[in-house]
Amino acid sequence: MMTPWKNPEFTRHFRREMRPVRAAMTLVIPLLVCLLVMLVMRVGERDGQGRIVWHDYWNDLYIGLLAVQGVVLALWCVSTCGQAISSERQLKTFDFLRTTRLNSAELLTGSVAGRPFTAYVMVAVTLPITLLAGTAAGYAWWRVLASMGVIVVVCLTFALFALLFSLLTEKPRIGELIAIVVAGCWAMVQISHAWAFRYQNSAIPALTVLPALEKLNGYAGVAAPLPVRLFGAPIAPAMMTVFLYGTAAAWLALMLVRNLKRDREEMRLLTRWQALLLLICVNVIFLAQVLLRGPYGFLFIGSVNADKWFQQQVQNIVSNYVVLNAVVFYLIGLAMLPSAGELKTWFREKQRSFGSYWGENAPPIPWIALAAASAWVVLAAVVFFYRHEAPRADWSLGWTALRLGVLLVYATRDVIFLQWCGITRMKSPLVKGVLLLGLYYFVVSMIAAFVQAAMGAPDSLVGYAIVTPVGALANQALLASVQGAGAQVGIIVLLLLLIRQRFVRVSSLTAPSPA
Amino acid sequence: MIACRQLRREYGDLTAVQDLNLTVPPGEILGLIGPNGAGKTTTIRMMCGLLTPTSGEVSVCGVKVQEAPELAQTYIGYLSDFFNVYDDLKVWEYVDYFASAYKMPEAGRKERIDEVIAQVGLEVKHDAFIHGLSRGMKQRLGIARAIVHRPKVLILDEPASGLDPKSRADLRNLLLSLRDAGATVLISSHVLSELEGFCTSIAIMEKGVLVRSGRVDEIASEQRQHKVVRVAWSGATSVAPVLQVLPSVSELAVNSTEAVFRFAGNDDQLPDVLAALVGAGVRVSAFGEVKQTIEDIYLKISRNEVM
Repeated sequence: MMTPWKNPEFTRHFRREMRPVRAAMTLVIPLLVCLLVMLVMRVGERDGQGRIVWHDYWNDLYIGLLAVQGVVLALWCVSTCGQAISSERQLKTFDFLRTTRLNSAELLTGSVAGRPFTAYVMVAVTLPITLLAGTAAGYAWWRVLASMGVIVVVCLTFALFALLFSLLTEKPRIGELIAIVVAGCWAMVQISHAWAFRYQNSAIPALTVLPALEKLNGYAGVAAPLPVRLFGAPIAPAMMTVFLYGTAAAWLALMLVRNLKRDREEMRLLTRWQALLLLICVNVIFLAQVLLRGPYGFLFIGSVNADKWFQQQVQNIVSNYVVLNAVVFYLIGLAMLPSAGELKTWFREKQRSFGSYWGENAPPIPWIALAAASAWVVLAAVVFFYRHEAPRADWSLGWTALRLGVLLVYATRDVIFLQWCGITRMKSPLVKGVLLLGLYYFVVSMIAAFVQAAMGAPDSLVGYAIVTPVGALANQALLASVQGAGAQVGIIVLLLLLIRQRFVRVSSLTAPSPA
Repeated sequence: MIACRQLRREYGDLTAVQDLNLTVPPGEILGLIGPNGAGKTTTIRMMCGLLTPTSGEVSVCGVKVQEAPELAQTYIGYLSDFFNVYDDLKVWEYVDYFASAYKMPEAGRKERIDEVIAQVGLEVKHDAFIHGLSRGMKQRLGIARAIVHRPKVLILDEPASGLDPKSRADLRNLLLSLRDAGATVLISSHVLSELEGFCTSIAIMEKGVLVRSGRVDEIASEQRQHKVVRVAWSGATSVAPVLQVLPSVSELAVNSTEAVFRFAGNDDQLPDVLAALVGAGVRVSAFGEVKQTIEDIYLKISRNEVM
């Protein structure tokens, strides 16, 4: 692997961004902006007698600069990387890159290091001023640098995220738009957690970056944020934030490296084993974060009515775990969907052996089932590991298995439906398939609501539970959900028969005639 | 140099390339011809490692493209139709970018870049920004990019699309000089006149199937069971009475001063026909075999006249 500064992709962007006039502007404009901010704050930060309150002045300047640097870097990364690949593909220059000897990892590092280079320079130019303001405000220099480190890690994760969108989308603006919208939602979550909820509703507090920065800089918030812990052990929020975003970045980088030099139709984000590992990783991280071990035992107990609180917490954890896995099942199923060509090849070449059904091109049903089993095993392992810590907890492992089973059936049905859409001659089959599923859920929900109202039980979830997985998610009407899932198995079989029938027909049409 | 074995590519129900077997020996200029949608571009993209075959394999210089794509790229120079270049770079920066991307050693890289830029006739634009170049110049720059790493195989997909006649002629001369330097060239086109007098062999594709491939002269001679001869004259004496009585002449078509006929004899017997005409008092102004163009061959093959 070549060094970053010799990476041609980096060199290309460096040359383009650092032409003399542009480089001069990149260096001078941030400094001018800093100077103006300093002057404005000099006017604003005065006491009643008109004297400058220096500590407040430096403190506000430092926090302000840190925020501006974070926002500029994040937006620049998302904007430049969000259209990187799709625009090259549209210009037909990407094929030339793919036919060079640069491997995917080199292309990736070159892009991430080079595309937002202007923003890196801007941040680097203003860093001494941030450092000066931070130390003048009384913060240790390493805290200032660590804060900047946290911001850089988060922004690089966003750059990778945006790059993945640009790889998957056809039109440059769409990738950029999606990445910006996601980044905007993320920013809203940060702000709402910081000022409205003070992190109290955060399942994983370290996902929001502000606690890390506040803790690093000893900034006194309005209320104390939730403690950040790993399997109950307290851990510095900054470290956990870096760990979480670093883990996400590693998975994103893996997906990009696997697919960057592939044709768009041949992309498969992860292998099936990798997807399964991702599911286990997400589940373990979730449980590691939410299992709090306080001074009184397994869970952090601050209430006198400990048993009730304790039981409630366990139910919350399990419910959130089930909801999380419902989303993960769908994502994994979609990520594992083979293309029509791959499925056709598998269908033509498969031997009737057990192993062939686990192949990369086979329908993903066994793997979604394995994902569900893994999710349950992870939860069971945690329960077993904490059996001495939480002897009173009712984890309801049996019911959880049932709930995961119901979700598995619905996820499988929907994924197989999308697979069927993919082998028809529909245009944009995935998008249309998702829209049809949305229509299905809307229609059956309306019918269920009508039937329930007609039967005089509008608040019951039984009707919904028979035709949607809501019973399993809400932990109500679970038995009706199981009955509904049984009916869905029939639909899965029907869809599989339709897929098979289509390939039989196609095979008979394209089979070579005997010589 | 290039070997495709049982190469197949399917898109859902559509089979774009069907079990293609093709070998291009070193030093050949092979014209891959066929109508739009014949599967030429899909074949080329599989050869360059841009597309994974549904089945079968491609090897270039003995390296299997799907198994060792980055090594295979050492040997391949690729140019597509209607491409863009990075407009915000300078000419030398663009070529340097690809020289680095092909991992050429730093020693001698600058000299090679200058050499390639001169080879494509862009030395006066060496330090110019690409956005100021004409379409033809950008095409030449694309070729410079494709050959900067001295590939042994040059694969060009409709390279003359959108070029003016002068640029086409330049492109032809450049490719001939590369061939003379030992490169193997595969060039696809559906404009057959572009390939005339230039390709040493051809491969004809239709509906994803390779219907014929081989050296141009061999395919042409296979088709010529009878030579086609054209004769022109001036004066009142027609060739018809003479030619009609010759047993080796058939399918005679005569107009006022010109005739075309099929001749069943060999090369040594053809002068005898000319002598007979002159002896009969015909004032022959032109006499010779009508050479078959690639277009003639293609049309015959595509009409299933020759298989």
